[in-house]
Amino acid sequence: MQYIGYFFLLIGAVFLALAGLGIYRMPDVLNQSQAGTKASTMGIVGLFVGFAFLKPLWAPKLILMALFFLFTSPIASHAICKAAIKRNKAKFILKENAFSKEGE
Amino acid sequence: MTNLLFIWVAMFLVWTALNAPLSAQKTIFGIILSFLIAVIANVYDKEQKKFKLKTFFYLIKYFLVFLKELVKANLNMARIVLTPYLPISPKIFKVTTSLKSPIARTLLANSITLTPGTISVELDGDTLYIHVVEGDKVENVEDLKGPFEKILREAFE
Repeated sequence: MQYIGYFFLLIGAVFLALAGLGIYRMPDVLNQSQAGTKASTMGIVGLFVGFAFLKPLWAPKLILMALFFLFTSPIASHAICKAAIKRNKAKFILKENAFSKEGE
Repeated sequence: MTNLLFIWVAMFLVWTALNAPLSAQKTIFGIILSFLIAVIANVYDKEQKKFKLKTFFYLIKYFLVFLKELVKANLNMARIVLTPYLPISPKIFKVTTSLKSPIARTLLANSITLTPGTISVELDGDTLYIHVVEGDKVENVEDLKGPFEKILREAFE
């Protein structure tokens, strides 16, 4: 039980570190948001699952928190991307942009 | 009426999860509080859709598929980030969805954000603008929606 918990904690920590590395390495806002959202979601959920195995009494609360995070994190990234692409100040690295052709 | 009952029970379950060891006091207060929330939600719910058990089962199926795709997305992202030359070719695609209800569209956009290499930038009516990290690998634009559109259509329509 304890070791399963430690295993999930390790997974969570590794993915959170990868999220940070991804934000550092990606060239523009959209790609950074990709790396940040995905890896940090997995990292947070992994951490919560790990804690749930270590402290079974906390499990219901942790599950609720993980669910809220799963629902809110894509919305946050969606808002950031939309704001960035509508403001259109920074240079985006895009090979093909259906939005500028059709949108607005 | 079934809506009210359902919200009541769901809210009470959330209350139970938050106050894990329940005493009599907490239980009674939770029942009253969740009843009030259910009544208020029912007053403001304009559509008054019938709650169907079928929707519930399809949502569970959706959640399992979603978890699988989430793990896949993370392994994919880890591979891209750790590759020394950063194999990205970002593109924005336009996809139309046939889903009608707003909640199904929202869930579709959210699940696209958390599936491998894609993020939904803008949702305008039935048109989705999707940003893809590895744009060169996309052959069929419809594939970007993954298995979710089918499940959501069965759940909500």
